[in-house]
Amino acid sequence: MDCNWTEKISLLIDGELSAEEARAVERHADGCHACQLAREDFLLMRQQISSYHAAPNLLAQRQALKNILGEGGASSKAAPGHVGGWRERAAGVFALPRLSPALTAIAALVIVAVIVGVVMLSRPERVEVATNQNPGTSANTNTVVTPAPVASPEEAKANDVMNVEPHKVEKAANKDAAGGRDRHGVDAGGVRVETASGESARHATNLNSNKRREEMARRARIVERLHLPVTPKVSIDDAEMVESELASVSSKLEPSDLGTARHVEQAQVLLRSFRNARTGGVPAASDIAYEKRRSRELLYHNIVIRREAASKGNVAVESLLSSLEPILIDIANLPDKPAQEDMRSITDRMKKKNIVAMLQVANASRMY
Amino acid sequence: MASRDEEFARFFDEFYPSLCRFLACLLGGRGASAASAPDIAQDAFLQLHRAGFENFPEGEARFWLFRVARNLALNELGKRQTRHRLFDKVVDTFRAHVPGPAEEFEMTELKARVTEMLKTLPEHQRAALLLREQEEMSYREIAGVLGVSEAKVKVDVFRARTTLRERWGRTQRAAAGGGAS
Repeated sequence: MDCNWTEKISLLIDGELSAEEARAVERHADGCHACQLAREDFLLMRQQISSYHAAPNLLAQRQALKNILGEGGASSKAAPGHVGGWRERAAGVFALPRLSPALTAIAALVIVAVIVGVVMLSRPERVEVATNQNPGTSANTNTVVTPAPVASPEEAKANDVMNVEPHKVEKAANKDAAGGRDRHGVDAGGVRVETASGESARHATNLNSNKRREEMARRARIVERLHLPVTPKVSIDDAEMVESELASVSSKLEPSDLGTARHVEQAQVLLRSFRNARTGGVPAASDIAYEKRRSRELLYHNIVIRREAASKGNVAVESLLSSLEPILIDIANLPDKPAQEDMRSITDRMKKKNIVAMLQVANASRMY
Repeated sequence: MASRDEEFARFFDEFYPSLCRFLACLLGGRGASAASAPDIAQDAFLQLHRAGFENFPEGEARFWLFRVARNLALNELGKRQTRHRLFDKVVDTFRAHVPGPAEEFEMTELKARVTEMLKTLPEHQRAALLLREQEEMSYREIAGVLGVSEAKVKVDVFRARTTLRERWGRTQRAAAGGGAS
């Protein structure tokens, strides 16, 4: 039990009371057991605290003084006699570095940049399939693929060029502002079909790979039998990529007959345009450029629709599109300034097949 | 110049041990924190030397020295609390119980109890009590070192004593009474 005079006892032992106050407290303490106990405890604690001995290291003390007087001590803080224990050393290992604000800001920027980069790279990738007009640049051929079957040896002989020039398949991480929306784009370098890779992969898995390989092998046999100057070289891997792109194209086409009808109509318009350009004499490069570009675009659609018709058992549509496909390939493969003979050979084939009339009839009869 | 350094050396030899003791108790008595007491003491003396020891009035250098040392110790405490608080606790928990010769001296039961008790006090109370009991400074001098009023020093010293007495004094008195009987 404490007395209200306990604080006075504390002041008394510290000598902070006046002589008169000290005498008054002394008189009180003589008759107050609590104050007597408090004074004993306070004095005992004083003895223990003041007797604390830090065991100074004299060598360290000498060295410290030497460092200070030599002013070299500013850089040598630790005295030689003072060797940090294992706890200090271990604690130093876990000590965090103190970064300056500028360094901290730079580190934060780097971290943010890395995070943004990772997020951007993890977004769905766009795949770009481009067909280029670069004869003789094929490489790494594993399987020869000619996009179009040949109807007859006569037709093949009538054409110097019977194939699509190198199919260059390239991936591009195209960040479309439309964000995930597929689109068709045509540029000077070739037909470009872009789609989300996730969607194309989904459609690619739906294709029968065996059937695809059989068809490619069949085309290769035809080309080999005809001894055609085959230059397009598409590897299996690239072909599979093209197949996936074609699958994505098919997904964008209307699944109904309306899509087929529109394609046939567009092909008809193209062939008429090409034929008319031919009748005007030697066409300028600019005159045929549109037809070439349009032909490449329709070529992909033609392949997709033809396969769809085959899968549905629509033999008439499949046959029609199979006849159309070589024509489209030939037009697409024409050089920028085609020779008159090249133009004539294509129009002769069109005339022989009567392809324009067949397309017109197909549209009129709604055979699909 | 030589007389100036000699005067400073005498002052250094007189107060370096007491300053180390004050810092060791202020920083926790033992362990990694107390081990930095000599470094802090050296820094304080170095600042005193740079500030011009000979320009201080008689007796003022000592108070200035303790004030600077205490501020440096507070900085050290802040850093260690943020960096090594958890680590020190873990190390203390798994501390080896085979003390060396120097540590054995320090680890006497009574002293260890005192230092542990002091660690439980708030820093301002601990500093005031240490300056009073070890350095025998008056309340006015303590107020000058700590930068507070004398009234606050009076309250801090009394509260520190009361707290220590509650936690430790009774057992000491009981032990003393048992020994007497």
